[in-house]
Amino acid sequence: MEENRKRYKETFAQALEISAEEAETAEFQKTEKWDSIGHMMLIAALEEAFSVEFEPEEMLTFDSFGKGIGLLQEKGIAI
Amino acid sequence: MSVISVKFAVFLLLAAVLYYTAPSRWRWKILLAESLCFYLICSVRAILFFCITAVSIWYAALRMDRINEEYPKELAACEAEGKKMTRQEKLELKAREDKQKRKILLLLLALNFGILFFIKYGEIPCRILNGVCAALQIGYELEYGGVMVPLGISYYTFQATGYLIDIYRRKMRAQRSLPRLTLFFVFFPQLVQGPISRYDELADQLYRPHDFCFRNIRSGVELMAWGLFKKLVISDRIAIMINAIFGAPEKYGGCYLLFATVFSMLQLYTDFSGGIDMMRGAAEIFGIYPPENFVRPFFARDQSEYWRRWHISLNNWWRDYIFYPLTLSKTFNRLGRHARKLLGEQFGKKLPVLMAVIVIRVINSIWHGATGASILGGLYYGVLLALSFYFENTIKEATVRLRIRTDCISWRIFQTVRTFLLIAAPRLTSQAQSLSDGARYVKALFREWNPWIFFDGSLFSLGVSRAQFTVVMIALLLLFAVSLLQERGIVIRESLARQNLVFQGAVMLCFLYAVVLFGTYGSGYDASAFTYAQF
Repeated sequence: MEENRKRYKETFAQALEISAEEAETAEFQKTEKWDSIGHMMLIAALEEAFSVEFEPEEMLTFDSFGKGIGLLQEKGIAI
Repeated sequence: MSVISVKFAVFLLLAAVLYYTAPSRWRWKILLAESLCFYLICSVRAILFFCITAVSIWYAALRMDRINEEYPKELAACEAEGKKMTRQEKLELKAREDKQKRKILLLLLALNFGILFFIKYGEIPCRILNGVCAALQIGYELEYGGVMVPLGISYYTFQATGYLIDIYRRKMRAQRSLPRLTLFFVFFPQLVQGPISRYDELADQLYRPHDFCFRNIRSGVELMAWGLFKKLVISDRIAIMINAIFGAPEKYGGCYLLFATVFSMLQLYTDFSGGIDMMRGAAEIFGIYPPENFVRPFFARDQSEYWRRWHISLNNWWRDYIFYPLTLSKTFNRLGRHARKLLGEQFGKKLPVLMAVIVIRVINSIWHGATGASILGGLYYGVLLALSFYFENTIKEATVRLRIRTDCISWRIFQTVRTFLLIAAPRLTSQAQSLSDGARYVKALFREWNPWIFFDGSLFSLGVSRAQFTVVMIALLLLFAVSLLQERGIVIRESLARQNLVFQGAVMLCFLYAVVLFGTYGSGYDASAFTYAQF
């Protein structure tokens, strides 16, 4: 669980080019690099890191660091 | 059967009476029978194509559903034996099943889009083949006899394939009953020009027996009347003027073409959204509420917002079933990685999204018409959208550095007008049949500078009198006022519903009288000519 949490934070921060601390408070359209393109890059990075696929509806509701954790939990990832 | 005809009104009335007088459990069957009847009246010779789509998608969805079922079953069987699958084993099992499903999906997509392509663009391979034969001086010419385009083929193909992809993605269970699934594909109000509904949004509404409810009838008739107003009073009158200009660019150059370009966009919107309003209104009479297809697109402040407001059901289809898979595909991301090395980190990272955006807009333009001018128009929209994505942050930073206030009305108006003009620009060549034909319009635009045509009455010589022109302008102002109120969250139909019945009736009668009085119809008018009905 801890390992997944760490991987999530690292992937998140790397995809959006922000620090791990900044990642925790990141919000779609409010964090500088988390624009429309950043969003797709973040989704691609998380799909690769956790071998999951996001549904279009999920991509649209994914707008904060915490929301991403919830979506991964729904996919059976212990995080 | 034209939607704007007495025949359709009688059909709708009879359909509603039959639906509400039938026993509850038969209602969806009645709706299916009525929809098939409508289809046969409009497109009897093309019924075979519809049957192929309905049966093939139904059967394939059931097959996929069975495969989807196997995964939890195998997991349960494993647990029953006391074994626990590792994450890797689970992924492998899922990948094996996905592979089986992918085969079915690709086959079905090829079959159904193959039919669509054959019917809509069968002439193109013939033209290419004949061109090659002529170039090689082979004395062979293939004659294309043409195929009757089945009613709503694009709309039901998109709905059906979207449904299948949703089953592939395990989003829902497959519909076991072929008649029920057929009703989802053929529901008559949305067959003519959409919207392209999703199974999980519409199916339950179709199968649920709706009891007679005056609110639904009133709401449906109001929406139909509003659609009729947009179509007959605004769109068809503007069409007369812009057809006169686009029909003779040698005669009407400069500001005439500028006027036609802007008004052509308004004409397209009022034609298409008017048609959709009528169809949604017809559906509401049965208590069925299809999704909105337009949310005041000309109020959009940037390119991506515009495409989120325009032809929403089709653009959502592109987004969910093509844009996301393309952007997230390994091929596109591999290309992105190569581009990072060659063209720099920032550009390379954004490349998959930018490419997918352009591909979608080009596919969209091919769907609208496989002509050079249309594809170039799609490329223009794609590049424009890609640029707006690419510079999204740069523009935000620039406004901060230049100390431009972005929280005031003037900035919002600037953004809205800029977006509208950029979107409207390709309408200049909307009636061009080829690239060279399109160039003719561009040349004519810059041939002369004649702004006085807006003041000296020249516009009244385009087939529309001064009085009729004034009616169009007042109608456009009314449309703008209504849109503005809706933008502010005011639902006009709900406000009207809160008034006394007599007042509601009086408003409705006045409105219908105005449509009859000011609408464009009569001899020589082709009421069936909805732009989007041809798809």
